[in-house]
Amino acid sequence: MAGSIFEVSILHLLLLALILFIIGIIGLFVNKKSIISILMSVELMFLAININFVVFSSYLHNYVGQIAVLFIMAVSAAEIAIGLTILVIIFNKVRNIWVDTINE
Amino acid sequence: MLILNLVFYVIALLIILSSLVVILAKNPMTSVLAMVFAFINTSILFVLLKAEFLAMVMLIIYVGAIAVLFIFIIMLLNIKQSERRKILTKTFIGGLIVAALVAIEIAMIIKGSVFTLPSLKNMSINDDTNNAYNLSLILYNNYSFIVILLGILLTIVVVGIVFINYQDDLVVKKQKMSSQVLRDPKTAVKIVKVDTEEGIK
Repeated sequence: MAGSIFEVSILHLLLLALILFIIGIIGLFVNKKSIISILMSVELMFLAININFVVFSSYLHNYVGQIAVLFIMAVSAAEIAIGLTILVIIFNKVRNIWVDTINE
Repeated sequence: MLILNLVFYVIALLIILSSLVVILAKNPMTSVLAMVFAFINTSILFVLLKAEFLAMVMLIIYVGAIAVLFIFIIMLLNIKQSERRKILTKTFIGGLIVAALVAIEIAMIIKGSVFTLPSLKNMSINDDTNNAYNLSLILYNNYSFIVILLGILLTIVVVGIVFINYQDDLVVKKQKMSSQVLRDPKTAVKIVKVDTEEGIK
């Protein structure tokens, strides 16, 4: 598998990661009332960062980006686990997922 | 090669469309399933970028663990978004301004940067062996500290989750096998003669 079979310019891939990140940020502002949607928008931002790292790792022929991706995946999994556990505990008290009731 | 370029553009379009569904869907189940679709398409993109081990790891961790956790939470807690959301509020316009600023800033950084990196001698991509082999060579030789740190982090996370959910006033019904086995049949059962229609006094 020598040689490059993929000839898209790096700018298009970085643009994809940028659009995904912006969609994640907009999702935070659209769904600021329900915790599950906030968590999913944060996951979208992590996905955009992962794409960015892998694109650079592939185009600069360097493996440091892929190690960063592994690290980010593990940390993201741990953070989602704790976030959902806290959500379950809060839900057992207030019985809904709106951010306003948790503020009280 | 032209076909692979076309495949990339199709995959990119699918990722963007499914992430739009994630943030705009009314039903939280729909947004979780669209997120799974975005993850699968990103995994295909990683395979295109010659990172096939990372593609499989992403399927296992993101789709297999994180999305499944989301689905569990939504189904077990029966989360419904029945309230009608207003999308065009004041904070949404502020959010658009923030998003536009972030986009302009990142675009300026991309435009003004030079895309070369001094290729580090042990960490360059070797096309003779596969991705998992090269990645393991670098991860366990040069970055072994990260592996140890991740182990400690995951242990702390598991201990923390158990600690959060700990309730010490939980009533648990247990069996005591020693007292069950040592029952004496003479004192365990008492035979009483009962008159009809009178019951045990």
